[in-house]
Amino acid sequence: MITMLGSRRRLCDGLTRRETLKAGALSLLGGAFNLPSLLAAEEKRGPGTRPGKARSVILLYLLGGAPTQDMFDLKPNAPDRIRGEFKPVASNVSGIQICEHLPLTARWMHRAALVRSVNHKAGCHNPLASYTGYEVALPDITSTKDTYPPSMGSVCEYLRKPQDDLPAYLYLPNYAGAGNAGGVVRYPGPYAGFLGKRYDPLFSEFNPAIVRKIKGTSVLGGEPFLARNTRLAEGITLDALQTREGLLQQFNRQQRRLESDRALDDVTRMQQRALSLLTSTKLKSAFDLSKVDPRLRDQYDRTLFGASALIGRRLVEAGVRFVNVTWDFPGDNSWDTHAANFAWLRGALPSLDATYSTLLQDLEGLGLLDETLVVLMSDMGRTPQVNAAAGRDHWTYCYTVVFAGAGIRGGTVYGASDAHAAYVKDRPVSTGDICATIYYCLGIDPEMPVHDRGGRPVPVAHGGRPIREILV
Amino acid sequence: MLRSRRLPLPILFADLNRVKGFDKRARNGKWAHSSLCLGLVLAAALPAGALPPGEAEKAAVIGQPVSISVRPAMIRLSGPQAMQQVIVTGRYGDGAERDLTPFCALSAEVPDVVTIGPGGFLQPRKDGRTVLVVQAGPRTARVPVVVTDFGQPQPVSFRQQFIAALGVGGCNQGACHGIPSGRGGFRLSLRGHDPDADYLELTRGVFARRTNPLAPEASLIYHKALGRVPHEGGQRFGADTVAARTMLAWLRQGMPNDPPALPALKSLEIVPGPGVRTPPARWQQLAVLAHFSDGSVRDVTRLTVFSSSDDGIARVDGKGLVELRQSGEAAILCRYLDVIQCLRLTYLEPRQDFHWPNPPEHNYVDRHVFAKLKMLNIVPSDLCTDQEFLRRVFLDLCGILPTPEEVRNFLADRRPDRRARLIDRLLERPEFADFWAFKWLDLLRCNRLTIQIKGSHVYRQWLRGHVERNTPWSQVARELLTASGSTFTNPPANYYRGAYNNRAPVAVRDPQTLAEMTAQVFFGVRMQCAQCHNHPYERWTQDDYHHMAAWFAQVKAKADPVQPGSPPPPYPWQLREDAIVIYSARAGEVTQPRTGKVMTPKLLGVPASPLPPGKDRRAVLADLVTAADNPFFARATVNRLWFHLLGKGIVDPPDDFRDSNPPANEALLDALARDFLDHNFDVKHVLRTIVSSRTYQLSAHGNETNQDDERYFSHALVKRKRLPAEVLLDALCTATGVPEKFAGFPLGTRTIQLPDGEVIYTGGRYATWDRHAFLKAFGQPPREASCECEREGDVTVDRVLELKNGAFVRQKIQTPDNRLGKLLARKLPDRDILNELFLATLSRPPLPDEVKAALDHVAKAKVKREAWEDVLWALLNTNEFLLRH
Repeated sequence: MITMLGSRRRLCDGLTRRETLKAGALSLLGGAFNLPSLLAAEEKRGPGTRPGKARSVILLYLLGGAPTQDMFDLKPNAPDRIRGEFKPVASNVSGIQICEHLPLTARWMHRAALVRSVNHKAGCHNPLASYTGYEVALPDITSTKDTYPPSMGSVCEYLRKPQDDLPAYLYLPNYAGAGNAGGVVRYPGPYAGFLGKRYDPLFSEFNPAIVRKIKGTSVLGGEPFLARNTRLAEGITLDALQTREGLLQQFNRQQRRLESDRALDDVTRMQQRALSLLTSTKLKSAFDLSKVDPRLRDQYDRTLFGASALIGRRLVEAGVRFVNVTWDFPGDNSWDTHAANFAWLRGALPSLDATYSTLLQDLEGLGLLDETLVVLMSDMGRTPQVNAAAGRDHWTYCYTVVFAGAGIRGGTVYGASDAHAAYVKDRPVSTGDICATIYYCLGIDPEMPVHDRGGRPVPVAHGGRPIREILV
Repeated sequence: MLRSRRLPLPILFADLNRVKGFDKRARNGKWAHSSLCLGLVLAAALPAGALPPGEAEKAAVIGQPVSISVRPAMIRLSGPQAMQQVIVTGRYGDGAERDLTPFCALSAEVPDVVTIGPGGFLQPRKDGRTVLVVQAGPRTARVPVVVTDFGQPQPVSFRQQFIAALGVGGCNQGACHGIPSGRGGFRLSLRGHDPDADYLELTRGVFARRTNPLAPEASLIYHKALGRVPHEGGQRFGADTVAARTMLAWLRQGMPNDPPALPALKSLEIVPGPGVRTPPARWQQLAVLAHFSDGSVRDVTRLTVFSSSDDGIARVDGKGLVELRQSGEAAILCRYLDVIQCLRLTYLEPRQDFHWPNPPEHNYVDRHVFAKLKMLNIVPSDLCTDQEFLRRVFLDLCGILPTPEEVRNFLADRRPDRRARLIDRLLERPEFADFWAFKWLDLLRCNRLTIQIKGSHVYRQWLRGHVERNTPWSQVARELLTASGSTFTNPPANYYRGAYNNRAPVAVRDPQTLAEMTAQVFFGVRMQCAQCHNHPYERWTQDDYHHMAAWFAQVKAKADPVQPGSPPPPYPWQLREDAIVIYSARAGEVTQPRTGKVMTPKLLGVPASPLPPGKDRRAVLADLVTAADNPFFARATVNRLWFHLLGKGIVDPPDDFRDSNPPANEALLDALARDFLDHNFDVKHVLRTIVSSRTYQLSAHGNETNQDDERYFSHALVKRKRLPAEVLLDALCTATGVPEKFAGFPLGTRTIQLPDGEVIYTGGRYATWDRHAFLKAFGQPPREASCECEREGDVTVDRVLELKNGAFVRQKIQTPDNRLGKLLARKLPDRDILNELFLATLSRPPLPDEVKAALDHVAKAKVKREAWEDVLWALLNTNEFLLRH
């Protein structure tokens, strides 16, 4: 039975499958080998038997392509034009080093897993790949189409139970690209695509005019707020709405004469959901930061991203399943650091550091970190070579994604980049694998099919497999 | 009784699918099989309903047959793998027939020659002759049985037996190893469409790990299928099943590949044929016979995959036993290898108190609809009121609301033919042409981001002209299919124009897209699945798909030197305003990606005929599409018209014609198609026929027998008739008297009259074209697909919020000189104002309690106008306004 070369995936007891099979082969020499008993041993551990650990997900999205080699995968021994200006520092897990400008984050590596070998073939500034796992270059990355596959959050909304009154998917602080190019850009990715608009996220909004400067770095400030339609319009009080609703009920009574009772169940349900969105206090209070301790606000950092992360935490507390928090562009500049990469990061990284570490701390303090998965990712990475403008350009061939919290084996590094953080050296990970990992933590089968507009079944993670090595 | 059993089933399935991700691991700690989610039924996984348990009940089903017959009349079992499903039918005094196969007693006169399995399934045991004795109540039948060559080795065919066994196990379906990436590292072609690849995968893949010819029983695939080792899919079949024994026999024989001269599978025959069953005949055993090119016929019942088009009506198990569960019609799909055959079964439970009221028939539509309803014991609803009819027919034919004046006039009209007169008037109104051109433009993808602004204008004008003149629809199809020339000067050429980008400024749609579009628009067939593999639940093959694409292989485009447009703009979303020239080249072929063969043009369902030399392929295609004997075009077109009027196609979805999705009323569809052909593809004639029918004019209010029916048109389907986004916006404008201004169009231009959706120009450096926010929110399709499904009609939270709380509706209500403002300025009595508002919104006068509620509210108010705005708001938010009744 030397023909049985298994995959090299590591089983929960630390043996690789190949080693297991080798052990089986040895027992063959003793005459006791048979395939069923060998595989029955695997059944006891069972690849699919672990329940989903994460009740909720907070996805922190650095829009524009973060230079993760200057953040989580530093190469101090690389040549001048590659290594960058920052130094790695030790984290609280021996053997894991991250950037000197992320000192608070470094104290959380015992809860985090760094995946340093993410790459995709879907082209630059294409968030569709990272939100869905669908790695295909698009003719136009500035608009979205109803024929695209659904994002992870939209799949959560799709699976939302009818009795849940809160939406399953909120997207803060606004649609991806809202801060960019006057708001005309709508990066594809966050949407429900062919599942249908009813599974699109509930987007909040923000004021793009509020821009803060941190050490010369422009970031968006202010707070996200509920979109126009989800809060009562100016001049309409709750009382006035109730009065109108009362009138409407009387007019709708006529309806019953017109058709069978059951015909409109679905319509009625949506109307109730809409009304509860307008009148419920859960969402509103999650967005209302006026009563939050100002010191906590400071710890999260007073940026739009920080405020959004805080609201995200409050939404998760209220029971929302999937919250996305995007660090959007102010104007044309953000994580898309074609010029002055390091100068920009000197401002941005301490802010990110504060927000990220405070979020984890806050969640842990509330006992929510064990049931909330926090993912820090970007739509791509940046070139190993520093360009003439001290910037880094687009690069999709290797970058890092950071997982932390529920379901994650803390203190783990998975995959490796080469000496220049240019290409994957070990264990490449696709965006589909990242999505599959998140689905898996949520207890959603990554192979669950959804149907595109032609009726074709498409697995939600597009064939991606969960990275079991970073999962507990 | 009937009521309580209807409908919940499909709904339950849908709900299960939705929460699957959550509950499945709680259920069994494993990823459950995903096949339910596919909407496809895993035949082997669904147990048929239990047979009646007691002998007494069996005896009741058997009853007192006048005679029984057994098929086949003579059983020959040749070779060790032979098998035979026997079908026993009883005939009764009233002329009815019942399937007695599961209930009768079978025995053989000579023991040991055959094994008689439960359910009348025979397999050989040794060479010899015997007689099968069939005992059903008082009747006995005797069938001679001959077994030969039992000891002769008989090779198991990889393609025709082993792959069929994989199919029976569901191993190669899309949810399992048939997915392109495979499962657990094991990949099969979807439903075995590529046997060569499967042979390699099984005998060589992963160092031939899955099969072991030296110890066949130890083969991994065998263990997995039997569930003897951990398998995410669990046990697929038992060791004593035909599938398991076929698998093992092939492994034991050393995994032979098939000889090249293997006789091809020609067709499947299902025994018995279609028919109507009534209680107590709630069961029907099927036998499936495969006919091969060498003339041989084999029983393949146990190697066939069965599924039902409607499990609520009929369920079928893996052995081909159908259980009929409630009155209705279902198609039983039988798939053996790549051939799918459907059997239509109708089941009728008599309704004791059923009384057919004999409603008058307006025309042949009613004749066919009522015949079906009568057969199914469903009483149609009453005729709708004049109020309902008026609003319904305005919205359905012209996409507009009647004005208060028109409502008053019609309700005052007492002539008996007032409905017919109204229909005739509406069919001649300019709004009719606007509305029906707009519907077709959705499918033809009229969208300036693809065909530029001028293209969208000329495309609309061209089509609207045809609708207005009522050009025979075959002529419109011909103009589209054969169009060449500049997209600005010959509008139908826009059919071929693809989305441009900076890299390919002159873009023509590829032959595959054109094949899909054409099949969907003109044939109502969705072929997308067949691009990469044979269609999994339909008879279209990958070859059919690429044969279809071949019609368009020579369509090419070049820049139009006369209308070159501007230089490429800086951003890909910005328009260039150029025309392109579509032409037919002399060369260009399509190859089948799997076989690499050059495909000849061939139309779905039409025998191949040689192309006349020198003739444009597309001209030949147009001839074939619009030929009077082409079954697809007329049926697809009338079905689409029916869908737009009734809210549901006779085949539904209206662009999903397939054997496994049978029409709700075959005779009706045939009659409409025949009428359409007889009147030279006259669309208006068909529309008039349909809206004149009593069926169209039925009320939405159901009765005891029909309120659960959503299939046979026994009442108006309100749920399916939400106002489309554009019609709703126009209705909000006319109801409030505040028109919407679209940049570049004169005030008063209705949404339906716009050439496409992208009418908002943002301006500035990143200038782009966008759709109206309200329309986008309400599901206006972007016109990127040729599918009716692109229009999202669902009520969503967003939409409700937009109506309750959105700026658009608010602005319409609050505009000072809107309809309300004008009525108040005339200082009319409150009662008259209310009346006008009801006529303008709901197209009817208010009822007494509505008058009371509204006037009480207005009387209490401090600011009168605000109170009236509340009333208007409530009217615009009623289901009655948002839906068409």
